[in-house]
Amino acid sequence: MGLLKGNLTFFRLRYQGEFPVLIDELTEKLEEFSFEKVFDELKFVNYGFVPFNYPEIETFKDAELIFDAYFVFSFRMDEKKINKGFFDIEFEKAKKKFLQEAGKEKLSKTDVEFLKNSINNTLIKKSVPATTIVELIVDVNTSAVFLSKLNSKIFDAVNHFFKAAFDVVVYKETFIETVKREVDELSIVDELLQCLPTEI
Amino acid sequence: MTVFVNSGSVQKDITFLEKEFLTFLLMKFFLGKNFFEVNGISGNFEPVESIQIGDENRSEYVVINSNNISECKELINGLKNSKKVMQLSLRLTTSSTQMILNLKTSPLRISSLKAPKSIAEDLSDRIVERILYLKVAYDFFDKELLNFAKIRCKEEWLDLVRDFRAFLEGNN
Repeated sequence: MGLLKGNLTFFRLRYQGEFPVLIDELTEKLEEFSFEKVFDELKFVNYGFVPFNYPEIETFKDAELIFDAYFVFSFRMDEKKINKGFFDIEFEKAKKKFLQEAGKEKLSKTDVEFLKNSINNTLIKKSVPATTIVELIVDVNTSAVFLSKLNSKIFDAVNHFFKAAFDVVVYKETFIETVKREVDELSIVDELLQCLPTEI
Repeated sequence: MTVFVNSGSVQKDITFLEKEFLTFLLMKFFLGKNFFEVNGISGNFEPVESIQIGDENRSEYVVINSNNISECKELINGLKNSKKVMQLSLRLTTSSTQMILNLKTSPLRISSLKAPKSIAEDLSDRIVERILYLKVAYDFFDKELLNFAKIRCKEEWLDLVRDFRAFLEGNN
């Protein structure tokens, strides 16, 4: 599913603000907020921009961004989860070892935090993420962004990085907002808001 | 998802307009007014595959799957009984291509789009062609929404509903 093959399902969002139209500026921002640049191996969730034909093309310096009147690139989101049962077993093992080595009978609050962080860091580094690649099409003529996948996590992440990278706020347009955008007489919207349901 | 707007000091639920919009598209089809033109591309639309109709007040929903939606008695009977259209699949046919878009309510949106695969060899050409299909689908959606909004509070809407009721009555 996506631009090249399968279903062409893309969800439309709108944005408020000035999306960069100069290719050098856009490339620089996408590179600065690229997945590779912002990746942190100790984070549960990592996300950032990647070129459209990633991983074949890895950096925006080598990527094609403009297709006709549209900017096309992708967004990568990696999520890691640690199984609670596995974590509890590792914690008990670490606790036993820690108490033996420190000659203590009980863990303090600080000891518990230290052990939990240490286990989390070890397990995060080892675990394989669930990766999602979302294709994005930006249409600056209509202030629209089309996304090949959309759920609340993707929306929050894309919104976060559009704000951070381009100072642009992404939002879901309502039915009435779409009508408002299309009509030239605002009285149509007012009348629509006042009308009552019709029994067909 | 219920859509509320502020109307004076009272909040008003306008979710019904989303379902009326999908019903508007069906009415246009059944009354032979199913032509469209967007960005110089003209064609027609018809309901296909599946339609969900229902009555929210009674929490009754029916998904009608048929190879011949336009002659489906279950759909006609549902509409006669004031069922609202909650979900609709439309095939857009132009002189050169066909696409199927699925429209859903709560909130109103294009929830899926089946468009032809590009046979262009160049990657750039393939992308541009597929974006063009996507634009046609969204421009069709926006234009029909505008057509609906323009007539919804006018005499034309009542005329359309009256004609549609006559059509339904004539289909026993």
